[in-house]
Amino acid sequence: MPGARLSIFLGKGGVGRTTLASAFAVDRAAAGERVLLVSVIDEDNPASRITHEAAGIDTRGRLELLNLDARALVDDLVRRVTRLGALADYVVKHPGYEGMIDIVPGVRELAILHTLAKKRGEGYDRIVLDPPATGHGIHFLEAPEKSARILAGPLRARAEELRDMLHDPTVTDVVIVTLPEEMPVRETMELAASLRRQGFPLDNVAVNKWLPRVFVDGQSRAVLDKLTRDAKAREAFERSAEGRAPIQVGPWLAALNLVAAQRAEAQGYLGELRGLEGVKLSVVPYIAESSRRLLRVAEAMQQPPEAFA
Amino acid sequence: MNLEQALATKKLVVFLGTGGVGKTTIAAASALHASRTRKTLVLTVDPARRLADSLGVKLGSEIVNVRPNLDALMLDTKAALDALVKRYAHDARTLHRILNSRFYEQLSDAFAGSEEFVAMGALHDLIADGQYDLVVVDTPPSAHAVEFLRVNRRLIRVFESGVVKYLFKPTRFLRLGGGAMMQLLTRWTSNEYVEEMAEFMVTFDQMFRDMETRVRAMDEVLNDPARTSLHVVATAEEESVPRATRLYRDITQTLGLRVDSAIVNRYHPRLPGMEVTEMLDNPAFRAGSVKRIGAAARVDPDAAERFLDDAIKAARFYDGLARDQARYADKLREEMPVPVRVVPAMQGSVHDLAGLERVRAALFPQ
Repeated sequence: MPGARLSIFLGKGGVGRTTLASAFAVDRAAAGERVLLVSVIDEDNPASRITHEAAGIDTRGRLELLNLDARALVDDLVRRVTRLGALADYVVKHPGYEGMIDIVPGVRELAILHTLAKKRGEGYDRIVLDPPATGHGIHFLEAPEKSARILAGPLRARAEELRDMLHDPTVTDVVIVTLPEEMPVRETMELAASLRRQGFPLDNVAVNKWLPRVFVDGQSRAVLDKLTRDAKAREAFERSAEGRAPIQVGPWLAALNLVAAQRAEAQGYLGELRGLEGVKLSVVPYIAESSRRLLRVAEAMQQPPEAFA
Repeated sequence: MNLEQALATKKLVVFLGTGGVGKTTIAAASALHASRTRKTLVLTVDPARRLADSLGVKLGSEIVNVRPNLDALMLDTKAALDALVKRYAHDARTLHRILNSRFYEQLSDAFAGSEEFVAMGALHDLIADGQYDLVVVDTPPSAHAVEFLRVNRRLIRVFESGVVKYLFKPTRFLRLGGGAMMQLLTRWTSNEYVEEMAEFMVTFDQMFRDMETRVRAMDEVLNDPARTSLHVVATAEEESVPRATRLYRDITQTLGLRVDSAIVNRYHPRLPGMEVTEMLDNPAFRAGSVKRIGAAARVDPDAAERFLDDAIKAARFYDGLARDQARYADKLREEMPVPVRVVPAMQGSVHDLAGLERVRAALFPQ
């Protein structure tokens, strides 16, 4: 199938999926690709139109942003694909219509994917999709197959085409964004297995909000432990501040211990993720807010994990 | 009304929030706190198996005793829905046919919100029983975290949409005029699918009516501030803040309910100790520190230097994070004009009751 590549970013709410999807889109545009970055408006919250950080970055016009309104697209799908003609208006305004959309699963997802499939032929090199923050977003990928099983006629045919598009590694790549924490990693492993089982092209797992490489050295860690546990050692350090007011080393050590513990845990989780075969790993450090943040995230995504891990 | 007061005086304390903020742990820790003086049940829906393990509770639809005065119910909504369907089916053959139909397979997608729906039914029964002084609810993280409270609206929409009315009379499927919707559905799917749906609806007509009654009754309880208290759990992170504030607006403006307090979880407070790091920038101070650390920890100067390098890096990282979080916490306080308390980030996750007790102590410092 000629046309744009489709990069779909999965990951639960809170992992920074939107940030990484945006950074990826910016990076590809900087590399010379013509990119369309797509978000889906939460239909129950019309104010959720996302103003991407990406919008403020100069990409020489190679990056376009698109907010999709799922509900409007479903109406469009109803009008066109089902060829209701004059009846379409009546149907779409019927009080039973909403209940219908609830009862036939996957209709909204189909409508969005249908739009993306059309966009693939409009001259872009790549379309980056940031699905709505429902669960992991995998239901997005599963929707065409699920729907195809119960649909009939032209809608079914369309669902099957969209299903094939999502399974085709020459068109689609899937990125899972996660955090170096217990639940996100466990869910990522399950999600990866599920994607594999269903034949979706999982390309990359990006571990976000990574911690700095500290207290990895055994002796350095031992010093931290000693200062933490041994009151005399701590006092000796506190007395270093000759002539100044006594400093409070306690809270400082608490912060160091927290970061050290989180770093050690993160290392373990990365090890688990490395067990995923055939999947590229990226590690993105926690980057504090600033005007350069998205660009720094984009740079980090390009590095091998060893740069940070 | 702060959290302690709510736990001491209400029948129902509900924790709302998007996924990944530690809501289940906060709910469990709150229930633990309340159980010191009141007979308490904590209800979580489709929770992480790990939390279930750590409390020594099995995932299922039975109430389990965790410790004196504290019971837990971890609801598996899929199993609960199956059990409900089994209870209402007319005979074994009908049941078998329905459970194997494509429509039932799609049911949880088809009735988006069926998890909440089932949980709502379970919650109603627990309150109606009157066994507990307090029920603490950890709501399921869903697309719109307020879905739990709003499930009634979607269900009523389905019930009243006319689709169900047509389906209750399967022989009138394809009538023209008023049957235009049915025509559309049949054209979209197939006669077979629509018949499966119809059979389900007709067979479980009574189940739907009973559920509708319970859902409406729960609505009443949730809307009664004398009995119910709502709290939002969030984190002071970039993605969490807009979602928490949207949730708050949905609850207060769209549903017209009151939020009594907010909990900011996994917080990294700014530390006064940054001056240590600043002082280490001073070469004399640093040299002196190397000597003293070397002596105190009995390591050579190289190791002491490495420790100090790590310490400066870690402290700067922590400070950057804490600054961001302070800003986000301020944003949360602006958008949610309710009492806000913070729970500091802790090492490791909650593995056992001891861990949960640590969270309780941080949530309710005495």
